[in-house]
Amino acid sequence: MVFSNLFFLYVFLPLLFAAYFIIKNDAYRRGVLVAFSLLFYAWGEPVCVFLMIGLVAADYLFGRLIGATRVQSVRKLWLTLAIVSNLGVLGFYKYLGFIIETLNAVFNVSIPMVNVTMPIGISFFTFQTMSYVIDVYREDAEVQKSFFRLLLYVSFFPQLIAGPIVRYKDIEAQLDSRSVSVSEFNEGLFRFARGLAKKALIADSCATVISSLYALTDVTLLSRWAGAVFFTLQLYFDFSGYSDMAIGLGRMFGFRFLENFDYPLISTSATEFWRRWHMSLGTFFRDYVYIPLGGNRHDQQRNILVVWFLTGLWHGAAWNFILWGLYYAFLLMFEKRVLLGWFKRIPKLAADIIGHIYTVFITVFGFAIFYFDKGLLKNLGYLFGIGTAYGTDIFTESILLDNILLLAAAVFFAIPVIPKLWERVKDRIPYTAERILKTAVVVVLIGAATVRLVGNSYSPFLYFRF
Amino acid sequence: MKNKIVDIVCLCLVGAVFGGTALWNLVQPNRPTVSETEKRKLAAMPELTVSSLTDGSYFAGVSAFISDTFVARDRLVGLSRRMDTLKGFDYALDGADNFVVLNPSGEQKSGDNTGTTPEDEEHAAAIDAVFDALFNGGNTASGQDERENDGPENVPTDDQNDDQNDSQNDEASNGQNDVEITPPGPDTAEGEDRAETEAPETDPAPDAAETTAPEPPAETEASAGAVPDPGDVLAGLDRGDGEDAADSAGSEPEDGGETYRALSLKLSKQKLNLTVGTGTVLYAYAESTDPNGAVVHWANSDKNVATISINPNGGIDVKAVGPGTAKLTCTIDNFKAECEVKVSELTLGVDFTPPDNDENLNADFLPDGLFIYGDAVYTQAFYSPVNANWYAKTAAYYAKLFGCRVSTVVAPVSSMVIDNPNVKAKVSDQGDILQKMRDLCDASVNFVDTYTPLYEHRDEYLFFRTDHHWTQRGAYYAYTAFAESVGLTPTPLSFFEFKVHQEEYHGSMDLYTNDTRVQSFKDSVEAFYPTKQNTMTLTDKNGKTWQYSSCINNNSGYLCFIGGDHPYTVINVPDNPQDKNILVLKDSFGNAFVPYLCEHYGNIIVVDVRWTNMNVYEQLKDYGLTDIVFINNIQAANSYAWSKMYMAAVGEKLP
Repeated sequence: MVFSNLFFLYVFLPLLFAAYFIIKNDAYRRGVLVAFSLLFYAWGEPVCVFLMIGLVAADYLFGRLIGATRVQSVRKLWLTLAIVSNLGVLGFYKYLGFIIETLNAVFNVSIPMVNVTMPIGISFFTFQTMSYVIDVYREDAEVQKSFFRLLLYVSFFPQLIAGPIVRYKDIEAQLDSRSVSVSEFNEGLFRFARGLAKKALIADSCATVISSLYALTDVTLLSRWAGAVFFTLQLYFDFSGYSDMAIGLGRMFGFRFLENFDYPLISTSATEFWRRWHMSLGTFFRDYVYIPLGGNRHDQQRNILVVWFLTGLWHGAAWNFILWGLYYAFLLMFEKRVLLGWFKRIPKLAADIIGHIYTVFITVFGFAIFYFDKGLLKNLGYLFGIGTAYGTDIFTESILLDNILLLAAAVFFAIPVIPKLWERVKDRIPYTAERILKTAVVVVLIGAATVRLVGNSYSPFLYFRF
Repeated sequence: MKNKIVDIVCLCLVGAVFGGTALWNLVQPNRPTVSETEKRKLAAMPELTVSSLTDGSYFAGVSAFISDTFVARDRLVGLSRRMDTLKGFDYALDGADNFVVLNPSGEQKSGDNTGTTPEDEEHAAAIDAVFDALFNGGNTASGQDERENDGPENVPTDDQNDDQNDSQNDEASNGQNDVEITPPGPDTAEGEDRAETEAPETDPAPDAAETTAPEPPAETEASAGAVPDPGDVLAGLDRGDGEDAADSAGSEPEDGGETYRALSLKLSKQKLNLTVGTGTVLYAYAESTDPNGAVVHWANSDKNVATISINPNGGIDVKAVGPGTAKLTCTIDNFKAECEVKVSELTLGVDFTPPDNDENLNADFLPDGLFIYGDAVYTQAFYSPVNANWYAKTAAYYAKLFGCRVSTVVAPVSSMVIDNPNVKAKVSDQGDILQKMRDLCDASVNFVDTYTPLYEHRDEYLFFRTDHHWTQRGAYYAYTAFAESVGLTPTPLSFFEFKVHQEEYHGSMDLYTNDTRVQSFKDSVEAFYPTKQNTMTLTDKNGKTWQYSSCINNNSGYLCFIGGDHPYTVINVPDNPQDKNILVLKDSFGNAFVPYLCEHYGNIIVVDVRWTNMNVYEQLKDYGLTDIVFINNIQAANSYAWSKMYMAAVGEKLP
């Protein structure tokens, strides 16, 4: 199931709220959350839900085993086994086809293709289960004695299928009991409404523009750049919208998830971009790969290369994703060695302006790599005018003019204008007015999103692939 | 405390709105099972079985059930479509056509108003008065007086253009004076026999035919000194059979002790486009020193594509047997001429099921005269004698003003294809309307009968199901009628390069009717590319010009034809005579029609008077127009606004 779905919004969620808030007992509430979460997952994966439960059971066992001994080598053995089994599941379901395809192509052999369909959200929940075992191993967190609590951590529906990737240690305490005030519930609802609007109103509309731009048979330079810009916006609004919804839903049940996006499109360097884009993935790789490898202390370049190779690969089993990861690895190294130092020597305003232009360009170009899993070279060539028929034509311009307000709105909301304004006036506005205003926004946004969802029944989440 | 109350009140409010919707959704007292507007069964609650549960179809079915039966779904879908318009500004590649069937004078459908009312006559008199004033000088535009001598009959003669794709018509132009007629020879079979024996020696081609005996020996060329009167000979046509030619060729050296040689060789066609099963005659024109005519040799590169045989009346018969390309080579002495034969399968097209004419079916009428029948939405026409008269007079005025041939191509709209008597009884008869419109035209205007060929082909995909336009196939039949009416030979449909331009297309009616049934109908866009290279220069509403390598372009849907509606477009076809120029004045129905004009005209100037204030007459009076054609849909041709715009485009203001 996805959040931008009428069944979710108007059947699943109301029933869950009713069941959850009628019950007062913490244990029963956990039961309700787990039951609904499993139903949520089963909605899209009626069989693989058992795979997920099995994986949680395995990691629960590994956690207990690690906790049962103080002998370092034994602990390490269990950890290794846990990581191998998690990555094994991920590798089998997500990368097997890709590996076979690559082997066949490189060594000119013909290993038969295996048809495995990737369970939804496997990239997210395998990372969460690994996070639990590693945290226990590192003694950053206690061993979880209750299987149900661990199952709740992994399967909790808001973050189950498209993140954010919640580290176990961040949420450990909240698995026991939480309290939600009405005001917090309202804030959660507001956050959810924002996310839903980002997805249903902006991201889905951008998707239609992209398909009409790429449907033009005369390729023009402008249409290709416009397509890349709209894709960047779509990806941002789609994914950050999903994260907003997850954070909002979590909050309504008393969970505090860490932020996942912080207006990445206003970054002034690729380094900053990765501090603002999909932060939970970045943190995961930083804590569990980059720092253990040596971080900034030794072999930094190798570490960057490894982490961004993995980041690319995590996004999908295709070469363009790997290329995209490596593209960022090289940009980050270039920035560390040259650009950031140079920025410090020139006036701040100039550095900011150049930085913004540079970052927007590399981000849009990067997502062009990200977009084309087929015909990558040809399509990147178009961005440099290689193989384009015209610079621009009337059809490109008509599509752009038809969507110019959408573009303006998307750019406006991708920049933190409203949050900045809100910071200024917030303290001067009485709480009552604030609450009424936010409530009005909630009603309008969810209402408008509902209209759109009824209007176009088809709107899958992009991050499903990952 | 106060804050908490505010919080609770606000939460209750949101809960009431969305919780209420959710509750209403779940317990809808009479949940629809059938959609009234969509005329279909809505998704029902799926059956729970082990297999539906494990393959995910049960859950998917529940989701579909909920969204299919969402409260006020139809209205929300409509609202969502309105929201789409907020995304930007309409560039209006496609003009706002009047597919909304206006009922111009407030009468009921044309079926009822067959007679002319006194008011009509009054109007007609008024129209006549206006145009009389225009025709007879008065406050005319500059330069009009000189033209006045040209009577309306002064229509240019039909051009003698020998259309390249035409096959049989050439006989007319073959009546050259210096043709030598020799009696036809024995029969073709013998010619073919000979062809086989000669083939290995002269040409390795798989299928070779020779129309005559061995060619004159090479050394004859040297001695060919003074030969009296080299005849321009239609080899094969008039010398015809091999036997005769062989005799003469063989005897001549003996006669005069002289040898003959060829001086030139030309074929009647360099290219032939045929469809499987059809055939044509190809002629060779050879000039020779032989006063009795020359003998040529034919070779064929692929007999699986086309076969050749001697035509007893001259030339060779070319028969298309399979798709592909074959090269026919004609040789005489050192001269060689080639003809490329392209053979295509019968005309391609997307799958199309003509409307079901079951008498139990009925049409569902929507506002604006539209109706839904089967899997398509139809538009119909209303006749306005007054406005049709304006239109006829306007065309006549153009004929007089420009002094060239003026044609009107009035496009019928989709309701014409329905044969179901139930429906027919309720919609206007467009054949009848067009006949009346024709009667209003005077002799100076060539009113093209579009109805007959379209009606004949009404089982084909002539009109979109979700758009008010005709398809390019529909426009094709109007083109054939137009071409024939002006003495041109229409290019067969199968000669065009066919492409499915867009597999799935949802046209104007989709948004316009905002009816979920229409939104479920599907269209494809077929495109027939001109057989000749052409370039298009269009000027958009901002005055910017754009160059295109073809008049059928890349834009989505119907907009692929000449790029939609633009003020001013010029299409140049280098292979056509550059002094054959046509001005097209059109609404968007003309867009699909214009590409066919590339078959005949060197320059095609397309003006959409809705989008320009230019004075067409001032701009084009010295252009050397051979033709002007008005292309409007039947409804536009019955609306006064169009006549008014057309007259304004030549600087005349109608009341």
